[in-house]
Amino acid sequence: MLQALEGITTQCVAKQDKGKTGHEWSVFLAPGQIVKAASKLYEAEYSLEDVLALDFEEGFLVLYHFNRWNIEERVTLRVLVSKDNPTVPSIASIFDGADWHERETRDFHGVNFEDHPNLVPLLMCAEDVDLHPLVKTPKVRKSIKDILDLGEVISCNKEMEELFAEAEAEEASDA
Amino acid sequence: MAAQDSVIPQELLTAGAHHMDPPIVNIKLAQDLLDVCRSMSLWPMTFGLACCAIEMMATGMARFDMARFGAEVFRPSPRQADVMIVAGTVTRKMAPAVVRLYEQMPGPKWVIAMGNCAISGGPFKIKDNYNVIEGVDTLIPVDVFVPGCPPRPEGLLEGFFELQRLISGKRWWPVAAEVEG
Repeated sequence: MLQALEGITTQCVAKQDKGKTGHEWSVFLAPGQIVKAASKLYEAEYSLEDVLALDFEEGFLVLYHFNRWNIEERVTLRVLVSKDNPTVPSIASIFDGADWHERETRDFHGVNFEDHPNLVPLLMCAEDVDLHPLVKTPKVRKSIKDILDLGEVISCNKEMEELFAEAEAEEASDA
Repeated sequence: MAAQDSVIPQELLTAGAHHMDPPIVNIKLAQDLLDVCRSMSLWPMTFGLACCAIEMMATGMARFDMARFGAEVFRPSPRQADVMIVAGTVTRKMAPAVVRLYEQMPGPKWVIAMGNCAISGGPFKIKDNYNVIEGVDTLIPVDVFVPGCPPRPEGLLEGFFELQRLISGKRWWPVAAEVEG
């Protein structure tokens, strides 16, 4: 089990195939847990690689990639937020580097980062504050289970299981 | 007399209400003489925005050596330049800076739009384009368009010859012979 995230309420923890996904752990979190999880990882000397969002049918999936220099263990934190109110607490107070990543994510997807010190457009120009170019059209938008592979599940709550349930059933029928 | 020196008062060129004042003393012979001098000492601005800038650098270096044709000194400041070569993609975020740099150049001044991006948006002129200006001529007046993606240094040199022709009314350099076979 991932030691660094001990004591954090997770929605789903899964060990991933490194050769296939490039990281070791995939952890789904509720938006309220991300600041706590990030500070735990900060204490465990993880560094932040990237913050980004993906546009799915279920909502925006905000991804946080963490890495360590001394142990090869990449961790991905995933936070699923609804389309109606895509709000995630900012982790810029813990990782300074998250500042620009979160601004970029706000530019491209319109995800609002609460308590961000300066959430103004970074890459887009100031007039385009409401233009989010990476939000997909319904025609090309896909479901999480079509894109992501859960991997070897350690623990998972009902909701997350349901998100991935159908895909597994389809695989079973193929076999 | 070149178009830039013509007496067209109050023509606003850019959104910043930029315009050129007519010459105080306007004697045709003196203007013609000045025009020849100007066309043979074009000072371009060091202003590369994307990959076209690589070709622009090549044009300035030894193999193509635009110094041979009187356009030698790339200036790092718009205050000292009289040709702006828009070499690359102009994004919406860059657009205000392009206009400002143009307005900072002392007149008479000219603009070469180098490459397809600067001419029309090039490969970025698509339905979902959200951040690329489709043609720098929508921002500032362009004198010479040099097509290509990117244009070869010879292309940019031809652009300069065309600009010299616009300024002085004459093409000064021999036309390259067609290669046979």
